[in-house]
Amino acid sequence: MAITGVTTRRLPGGGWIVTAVSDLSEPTFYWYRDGLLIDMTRDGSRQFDLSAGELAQIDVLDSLADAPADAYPSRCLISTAPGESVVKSRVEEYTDGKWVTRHTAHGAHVGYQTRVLADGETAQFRVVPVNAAGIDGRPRPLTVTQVCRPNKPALAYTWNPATTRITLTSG
Amino acid sequence: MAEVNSGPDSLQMYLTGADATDGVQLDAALSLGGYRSIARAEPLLIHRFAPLQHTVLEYAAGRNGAGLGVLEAVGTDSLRWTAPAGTPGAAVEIANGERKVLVDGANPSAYVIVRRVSPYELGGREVVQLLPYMHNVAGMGDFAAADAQGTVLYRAVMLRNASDQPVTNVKVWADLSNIYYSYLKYRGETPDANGALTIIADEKTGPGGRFAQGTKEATATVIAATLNPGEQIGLWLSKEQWYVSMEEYARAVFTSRWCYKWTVGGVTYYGEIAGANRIPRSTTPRYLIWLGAGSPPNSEAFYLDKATNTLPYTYPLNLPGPQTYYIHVREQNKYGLRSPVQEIVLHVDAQNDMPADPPCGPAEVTLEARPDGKVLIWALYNPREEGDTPAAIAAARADEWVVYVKAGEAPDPDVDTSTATQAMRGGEAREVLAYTTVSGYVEGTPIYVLVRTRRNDGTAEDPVWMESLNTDAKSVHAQWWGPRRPRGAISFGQTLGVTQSPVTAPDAQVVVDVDKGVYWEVTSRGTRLYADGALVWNLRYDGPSLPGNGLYTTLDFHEGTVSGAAAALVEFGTWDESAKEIYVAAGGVRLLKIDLVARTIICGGLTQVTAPVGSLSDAPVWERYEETDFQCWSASEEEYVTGMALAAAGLRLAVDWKQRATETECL
Repeated sequence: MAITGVTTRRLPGGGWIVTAVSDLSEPTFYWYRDGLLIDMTRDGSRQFDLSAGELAQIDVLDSLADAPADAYPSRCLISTAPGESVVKSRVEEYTDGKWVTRHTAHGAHVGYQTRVLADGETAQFRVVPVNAAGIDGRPRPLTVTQVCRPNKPALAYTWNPATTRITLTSG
Repeated sequence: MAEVNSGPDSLQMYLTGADATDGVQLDAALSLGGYRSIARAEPLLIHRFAPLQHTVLEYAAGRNGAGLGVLEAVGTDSLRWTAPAGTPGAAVEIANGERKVLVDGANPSAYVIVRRVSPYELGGREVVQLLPYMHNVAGMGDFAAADAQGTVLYRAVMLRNASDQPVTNVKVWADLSNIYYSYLKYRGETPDANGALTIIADEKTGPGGRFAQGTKEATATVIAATLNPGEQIGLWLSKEQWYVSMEEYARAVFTSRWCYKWTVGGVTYYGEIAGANRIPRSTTPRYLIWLGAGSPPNSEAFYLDKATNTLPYTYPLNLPGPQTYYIHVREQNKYGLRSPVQEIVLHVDAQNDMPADPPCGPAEVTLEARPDGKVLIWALYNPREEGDTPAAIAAARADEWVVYVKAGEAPDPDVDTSTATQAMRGGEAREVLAYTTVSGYVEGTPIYVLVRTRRNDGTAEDPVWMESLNTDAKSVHAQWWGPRRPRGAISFGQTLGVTQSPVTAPDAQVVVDVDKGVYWEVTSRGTRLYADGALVWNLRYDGPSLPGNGLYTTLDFHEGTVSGAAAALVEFGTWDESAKEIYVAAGGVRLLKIDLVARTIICGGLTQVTAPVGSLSDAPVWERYEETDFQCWSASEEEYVTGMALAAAGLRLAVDWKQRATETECL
């Protein structure tokens, strides 16, 4: 019992439709992006949106017992355990000397995918819990130094017809 | 067994590094001996997508393994756990405020600890993802780029008997699976009278003593024969920087895993702690270069042609023309992770000059079948793929679309002439082509379309076109008819339905040749072919499996070869007293002959299908791709269907062949 076929179709604007076929009679499809389970569907098709230059490894499985292939994700996932009396949480990123709200999760649970982080980039996030009265609790700091596949090089080159040699230069 | 501190939860692993037993020391990097911390060593990160309400998942044991587990309510006050690749465990009743151990059904050492945080009813099911950790106490910190092979990192943890029974036979081993060199080691240490282990100065300074290197359960080392309730034993873990091969010289994920087992209450349980760190290399080259002459190189291969850390870089080999060279460049980070490939294609001519590259092909091409057998071609071209600066884009971008359309097979731009060209707007914005073929194609024809772009490297008066090199054609089948007639109803509000009269076929006559008296008569009781004042056949299809269905004729059928090019679907041969021949063609070839004098129908053969397959055309005879369809009215479906079709193999009948003695019986 397995996924028997996967096709991809590119959409104008940076999206992709991935379609999987399973030989199970009533399969559930488990969709992974960069090794992280992001969705479970009955339908074998799902759209993925990628920003310019973004790489994503998509795995689709039809069994909980399988595991996705090794991945080096370009995004991180922030999740927090539900705390007591939390009605919402803000995910903030420290940028240009100040904390900027990236996401607000209603309810106690947070599951947030960060922006694409470049290889070697260090990013600081924090999750701020908020109670029913709107009062902030103490934040949970989360720091990550990204390790992933580098972006595709964009080198320029020059050609010397006299020597028939090429010189690569930084784009 | 569902109680915490018992069964699989009886022997618990804690960080060290606290200033007193049960002191607060949460940092795995500081777990370097000394007193036991209050913090348990975390073998797996718990990620909850949609948490089961009123529950907190506090801990997942290492023996669950990474993957997707399931936490689900059984009734309103019980929960059960299924570990990744496991089976559902026993339901455990849990009251508000309680913490319980939930064990997988197949593996008694795979468990989670759950706390219920409200008295409200439990319900539902959630998928829980368990992830291995980077830099936990087993993974340890990253090796430094300057570290020599053989550099060792150390961590210390404490195993404590949290149960009220003695724990015996505590054994430890490193899990190296197929690795033949033991770079993971371990050593047990009995804490001093105050409960402290040796403290090491830093993570690269060992505690001394002999470390064991058992790599499987059979060679495990006993580190404690008995631990009475509350007693503990220290466990040192060591991880050596080591690589198997050049491919793993630097490692983005360097995994380590230690396993342990013990017996309590007569049952043996297993535990494990795993994690990962990284091995960087300052000598890892940044740019990796592969060269292919005439065809692209294999840039997935580990071994490359050249490498450089700095730019500009002149490739040290001559690349004489005429030849096309493919240079693949990948960037590599200090952990050995490689980027996607940048491909540089050099078309070097005989004078060793390099004409400008052709423009990129379309980013996207889609085809839509339109009515009357036409095709609408959409294509997208992104000029920004041609360069990074406005000047580079302007110099390299395409000026026109080139469309190749061919029926039956993919067009070859080296041989075939383009069907149409269309000017682009210019600039840096995306260009969109929306082109509909001028002529329609016969129904069912596979139409292949190749869209290219081209740039004028000459002048407006004397253009020199450089065409893109893409060769992948897309295809679509020509369509003439929409979907079948739908079933429908109308009602007075929502009170009474209004009965409708059925759709009927209008009686019609389609004349083929007046002089020869050849014509089609379309009726609700079949489509009839008359010739020379006599009925040739009556093709009748009332609906699926109805008794009136049939190809009624008084003529004889003969299997035989009919050949010859045809200019029309119905043509005539000899027409005198000796023979009166009518030919029917498909795909431009005569395939069926009717001889009114010999009273025969000749074609390659008769085959039968169970239901009509073909067109919805309302013409009595209809040309499809390499096939001619004979249409008749299906009263039950209120639709024209293909009662039979002529193709190279002969007649394909969706009705029975019914030969009758008289015309009357055929009607």
